Amino acid sequence: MYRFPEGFYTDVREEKVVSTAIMIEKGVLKQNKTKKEQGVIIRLYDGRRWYISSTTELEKVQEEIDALARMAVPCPQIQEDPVVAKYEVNRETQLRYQDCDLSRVPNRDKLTAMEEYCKCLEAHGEIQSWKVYYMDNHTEKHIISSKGCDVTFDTQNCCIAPRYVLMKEDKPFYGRKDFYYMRFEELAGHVEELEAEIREDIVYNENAVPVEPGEYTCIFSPMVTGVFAHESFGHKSESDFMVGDENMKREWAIGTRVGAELLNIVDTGLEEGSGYVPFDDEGTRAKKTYLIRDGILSGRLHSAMTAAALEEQPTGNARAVDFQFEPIVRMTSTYVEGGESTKEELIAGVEKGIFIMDFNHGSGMSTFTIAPNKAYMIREGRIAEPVKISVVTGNVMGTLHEIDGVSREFEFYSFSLGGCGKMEQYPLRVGMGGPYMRVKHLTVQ
Amino acid sequence: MVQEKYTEKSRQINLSVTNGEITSVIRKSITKSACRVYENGCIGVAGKLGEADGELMNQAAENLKLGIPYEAEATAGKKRKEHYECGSFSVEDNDRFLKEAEEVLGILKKEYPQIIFGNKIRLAESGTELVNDAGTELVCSDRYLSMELLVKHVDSVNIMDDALVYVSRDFERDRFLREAREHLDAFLNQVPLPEGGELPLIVNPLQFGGFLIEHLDAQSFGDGTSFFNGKLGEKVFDDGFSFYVDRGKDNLNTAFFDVEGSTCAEDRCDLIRNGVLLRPYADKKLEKEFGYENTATAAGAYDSVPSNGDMCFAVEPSDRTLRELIGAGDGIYVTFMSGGDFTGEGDFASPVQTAFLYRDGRLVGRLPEFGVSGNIYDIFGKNFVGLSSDRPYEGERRLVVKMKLQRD
Repeated sequence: MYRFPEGFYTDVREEKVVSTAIMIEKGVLKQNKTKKEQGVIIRLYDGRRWYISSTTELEKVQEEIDALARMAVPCPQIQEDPVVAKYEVNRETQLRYQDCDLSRVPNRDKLTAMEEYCKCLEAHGEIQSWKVYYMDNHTEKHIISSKGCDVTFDTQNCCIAPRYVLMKEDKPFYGRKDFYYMRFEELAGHVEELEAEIREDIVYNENAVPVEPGEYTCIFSPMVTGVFAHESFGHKSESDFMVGDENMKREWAIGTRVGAELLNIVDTGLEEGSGYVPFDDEGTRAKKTYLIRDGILSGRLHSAMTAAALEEQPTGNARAVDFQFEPIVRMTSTYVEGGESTKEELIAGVEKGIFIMDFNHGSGMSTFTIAPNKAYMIREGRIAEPVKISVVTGNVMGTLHEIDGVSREFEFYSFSLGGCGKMEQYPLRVGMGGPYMRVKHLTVQ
Repeated sequence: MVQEKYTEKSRQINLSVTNGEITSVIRKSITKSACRVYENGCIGVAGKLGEADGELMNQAAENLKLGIPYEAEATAGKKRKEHYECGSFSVEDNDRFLKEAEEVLGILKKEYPQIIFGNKIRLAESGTELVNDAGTELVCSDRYLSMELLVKHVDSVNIMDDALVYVSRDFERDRFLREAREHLDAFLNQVPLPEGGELPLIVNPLQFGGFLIEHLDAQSFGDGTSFFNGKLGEKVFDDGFSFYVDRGKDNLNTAFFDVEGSTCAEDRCDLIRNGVLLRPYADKKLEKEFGYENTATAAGAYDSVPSNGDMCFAVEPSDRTLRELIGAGDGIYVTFMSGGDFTGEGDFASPVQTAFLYRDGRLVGRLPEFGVSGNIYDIFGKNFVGLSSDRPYEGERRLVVKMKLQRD
């Protein structure tokens, strides 16, 4: 297909994306677009440095390969290079969504699917303003390398995402509900869930009071547990941060205790959802990686480059937002495994604490943060009054030891709008989830 | 019927930095084109990667049938071209840019062996063009260089500790290194938090701007969901605080026109002047729907129906330098404050992950982590100090506000 120049490792990733975005605002159609985009990223490695080009000029791929080769210095032993040695040579086609390809669903059907959600929002006089988004995406990737990799696979997702604003004394509350699936027909029949969410939000907004700042035991909902796993530990597991950093290698040695014994955190691209990628963007097959098992550091996320640098194995986590970007180490679907307790048991064990129900955003450096959207006080083992919170914070490494309960109830989430950001690459689709989880000594403001 | 072509072009050289070494050279050349057709109060849009052609315009005309309302007129009879130059480098001169980056990194690595540098150095060229058969031809292009280096101490167990950022059309090696040395020397010198419950924080100009931007949206005003409902014309903030739509030359990577082709007189439009809330920001549709003034803030992906919300806002600078704004006391220069948020009441709280003590016009030491809190009316009211007239760090002006500190 391409002439790969001698003395280099070269790979080409071609992406074809068909996507639809529809938005209805207060009953008026504001956006209705379907587009087909195609682009290519070419990477050439000479054993010292990568030379990369991304382009929309598909007919010029060979020219670009040759131009990159002119910038680099040939290395006759490139096949023995430790990075090149780590690349898997997969030759496979995994087109899972050909029989239900979202790009073949007419937009009028997508508009029809939105109708019941629009009607539900319209029916509530308390809602001051609303929008319903429909978004879908069918992506086909073809990765071919000079080492012999040749994989083709597809991913797709569709979602309906209602957004609404409730007002109380000129203070807005932003409500939302996401319905995210892989197949179009799965989107129907969830309007009662939206109805329940709106009713709860109305009561929350009427009654929520500013929280008394302080240190609390918090119980996270499965959604919040998911974002906690992602922000508090998932990013630290991305091993590109460790390359060449001897101190990090010592501190993060496999086998080190990093959290409470009941804590297990997993990342995998194999789960269907927004983190599903059967191969990463270097053609490495997806795997299930335990980051923490029984509180012990058990693994980390790799590209071929980081696996070579740390003398470990690639995990299928080299991902790029799209063809304009080179793959870097990213999460796929990250979750905390369920435990033995029930949700009720966890709550019953808290004298005075806070139940964090959902979130607006989270972050994680040395301190992780969660900005809740809805939260409730827990008093004497029961859910009590709703509270408004700016931010919940905790030291990342300390907090993992403060987990003292995980429920057997488990939920897995995919997010409709937005995604994970790292460096310049945002938003990347990722999944997350977990059980209800109890964490002590968190700072709440 | 009016037919319109909208094009965004981007060319970049990105250098990936790992452990202070350039590990990849990335060249990008991306063209995104859209055709729009306006007819009978509706708009049809079609987009593609690459250059627009007749087929794309036909598709846009076909998309009129989707019935997306667009009551406003296409921009007519406007012609203007601007090219904001980057004197230092060009994307064609790959080798010279690479050599300069290697040399600068080499100096930093040699002088600061206890620091690991990573992330990106970027030379970016962008161009936006809007042409229609109503006589409008607007073209704006820009080129700038950005150093976005993450900083980590070799003994740290954090993913990153700090960032060295410098964004400018004219890269001056000596200036960057002078600033970097002051920053890194302070980074290596741990100092305690100064005394006092409320101290001047030195932050980037739009650090607290998100709440204003969210609630000054004309859509929110029209819907009655803005935090500032009923306050138009009222003085709500400090006399010294003015906030405006900035489409001027100084605003990097921002065209003088929005995606609808709207422009402002003098390339700016005041939203808040001397603390008085003058107007929300609005695109053509919101001007038509609610009667608010068009502030040239239409935005959207290249192939979308334009909608309100271009992020081109600025705080009016004062006539005082950062050093003058801080005066004789201490200031706290913040480089990482992330994860916090405003509640619906306008209350803000956030951890501050990385900050420095600023004293006598210099960064003198790195502070431990702490938290800050405040209310929007105080932040831009009684606690507002000002935006610096100079650009002492990161190629940017610095905002100074007093905030309440939470210590561990």
